[in-house]
Amino acid sequence: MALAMLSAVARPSLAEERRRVAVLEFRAGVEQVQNLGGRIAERLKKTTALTVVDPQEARRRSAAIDAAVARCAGDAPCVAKVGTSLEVDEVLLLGVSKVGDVVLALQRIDVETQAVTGQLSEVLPSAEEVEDKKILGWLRQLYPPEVFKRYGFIVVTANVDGATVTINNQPRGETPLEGKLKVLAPRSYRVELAKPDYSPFAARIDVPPDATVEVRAEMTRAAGLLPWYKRWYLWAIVGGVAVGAAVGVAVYSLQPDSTNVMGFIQR
Amino acid sequence: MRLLGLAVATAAGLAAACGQGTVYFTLEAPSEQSLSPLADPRADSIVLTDERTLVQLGPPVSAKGEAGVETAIGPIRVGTYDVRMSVRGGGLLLGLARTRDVTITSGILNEVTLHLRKPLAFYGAGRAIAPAGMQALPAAAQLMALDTTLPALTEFPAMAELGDPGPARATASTHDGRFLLVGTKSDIDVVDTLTIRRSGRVTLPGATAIRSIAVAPDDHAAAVVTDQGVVVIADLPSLLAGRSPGELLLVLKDPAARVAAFHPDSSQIAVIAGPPWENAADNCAKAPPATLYTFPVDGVAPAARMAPPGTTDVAYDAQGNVLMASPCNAPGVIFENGARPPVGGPGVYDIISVGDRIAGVLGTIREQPVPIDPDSPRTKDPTRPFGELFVATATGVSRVALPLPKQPLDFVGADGFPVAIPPLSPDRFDAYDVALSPDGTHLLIASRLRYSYVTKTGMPQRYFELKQSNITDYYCDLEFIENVYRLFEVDISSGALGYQAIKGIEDGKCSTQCYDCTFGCRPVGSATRSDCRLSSGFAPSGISILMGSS
Repeated sequence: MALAMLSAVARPSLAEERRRVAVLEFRAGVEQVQNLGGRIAERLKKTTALTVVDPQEARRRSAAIDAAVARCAGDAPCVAKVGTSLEVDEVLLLGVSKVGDVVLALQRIDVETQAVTGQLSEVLPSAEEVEDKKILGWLRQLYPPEVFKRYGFIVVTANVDGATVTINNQPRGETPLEGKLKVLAPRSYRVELAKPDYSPFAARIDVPPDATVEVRAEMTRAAGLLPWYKRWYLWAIVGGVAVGAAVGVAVYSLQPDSTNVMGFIQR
Repeated sequence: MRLLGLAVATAAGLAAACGQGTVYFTLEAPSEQSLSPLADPRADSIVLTDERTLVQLGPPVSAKGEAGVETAIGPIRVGTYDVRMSVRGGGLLLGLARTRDVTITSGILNEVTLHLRKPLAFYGAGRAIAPAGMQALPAAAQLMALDTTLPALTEFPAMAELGDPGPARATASTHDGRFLLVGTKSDIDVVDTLTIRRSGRVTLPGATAIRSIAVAPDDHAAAVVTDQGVVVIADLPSLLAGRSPGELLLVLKDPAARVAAFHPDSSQIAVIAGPPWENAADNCAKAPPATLYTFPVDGVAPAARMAPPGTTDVAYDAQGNVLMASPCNAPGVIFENGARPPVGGPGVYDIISVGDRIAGVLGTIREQPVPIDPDSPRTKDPTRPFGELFVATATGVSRVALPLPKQPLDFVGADGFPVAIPPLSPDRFDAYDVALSPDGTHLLIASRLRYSYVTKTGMPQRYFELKQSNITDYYCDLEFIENVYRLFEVDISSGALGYQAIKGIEDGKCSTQCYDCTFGCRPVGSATRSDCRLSSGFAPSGISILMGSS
């Protein structure tokens, strides 16, 4: 395996493709389930690829936001206009009222069309606390599964042109690669570069959500016409065996296994 | 340089290890606690199996744990699988997920979502019973459900709100358990089993009663049998995703169409057009005719031929042979063209065919001696009535006795005194709708049991008599024929009853009269017989169990 230099830098990605959602709350004098809007916004941030404006941020952007939402009294076009003032694409409006039990109404209001695109209602016994799992369940009912897929980006650069780039065995082009590669996150990926006459490059990286990981590959030419006893990789193999059976066996057994994969169950 | 070579050799080995590949099985379970197998405190293990080979994929792992946790299950061989994930606890199957055609490839990150569901049973009402006498039983709800993992008598509150206000007539679940199709009068409602909420609907033009639904094993199509014939939903995935499934055509026009079944490879459909089960076995000497149709899923030119008279159900076995159930047929379930010998026995209305197993419930009743009769503990040489279920495999047929309930009579006779008759054994047992749990251990049976107290010629029978010097002074008689619609769950290996509940009572006859025979036998009091009829409730039907067989 050639010597190679890897520099992986994770930095926050631009949000150019992400839908912006403001979570706003409208209460009819109900004191229970305080800060539910904030908790819903937090769940959205942690589990989706949406750009979320929580109620506190909305108040920072517009001091009179609560009064504006209250005046709308749930009217979708009116709430959509509030969304326009917050520069978002959608408003997730939480209505909290009380008729004996606490009644919650969640509505997705598209700012451009001023239409309700999804809604659900829930009745909570007065004393019941709302668990995060329940909030996530509501969001999964309101939003399609694609929303819950999160992504990160990989940028691959190399010191040579024309090297084939594969990510988890999928070919992604040749260097120099244009732009960023969008991948599911958080996940681990194996980035490989190969070019004739050059030693192959491989590295394993972890991509966090909404982050960009840069891989800068330094590829070196394969060993030329050196006498066999001067080639460094021969010494690597000989050295591996010479140290002892443990190392020799370890190197052998750690060869890529093409008949099995490691399995995990994820809740 | 030599030292560097050694270091690089080790580094090379480590780097190579990263290229093996991984597979993540991500669990998706309902967030509602009562619907989630993972929230069941009894859950203790999760097992992954390949349904094609029945080989386990990795060792069992603990079912306890927080959301977001990853549990390693060791190396999984690359290949294509039909993945089955079981959540077990206390010896019970508490939850199941099934996904077909999962390909695991080396060297890459494989991701598989497994949709975990409880094996809930759903049912509707074939017929409401017109109330008479005291209203004793509740009417049918739109869609009713049972949690088959919970103790007896635990009904599960089904939450779906269907479009039609009347009760469902038929239910069927997709193979992966993610969706339930519910048929009402003319609508098919799609219920998302993640939330038990309706997620779609399609109206079948011209239909006024949906009789049954069959879903293809590959979940790509569904056959809906109505009072007009058979409609094939050829693009079921679109309907399940909330999109239009395209034009729905009446593929088979036959108002007598009753039930449909898919070939194991999902390419063919078999349909029986014949009498409703209530008419099928009433008079076997004059059993109504029946027709068998088979046609490909694209519905070109159904081929029709005669089926045994009174046939009520059709199924395919694992080899693709057509099976038919006719309760009048003494040999039992027969194979078309004699592909295999008949199995079972008389009185089978509904066939269960799964894998290499064929199961059903016979209509025979046998009084068998028991150590003690719980209904009449002082009875000498007590006997109890037993029905019978059978399970046929390639190696043979096993039969299990099924205890049947006696019916106590607790009403007042014409003379104002209680009718003192020991509890009656049923004289007829019709298990007209049957479903098998996904682990193959329990049958859910919708049945009609008939209890009679009449003479052999059908006349009222004396139940009380006073004699002097061997001459009758006074007597009372009872004319009683009652149908009881029961839903019950039975362990298929032992016959032990689990859940059981009476859903409907329908008295054909119930009247008493007493006679004073001092000067010829004359009615005491009014000449009109005292009416004791009671009718209420409904006949459950359209049973299905998520990821089970029906």
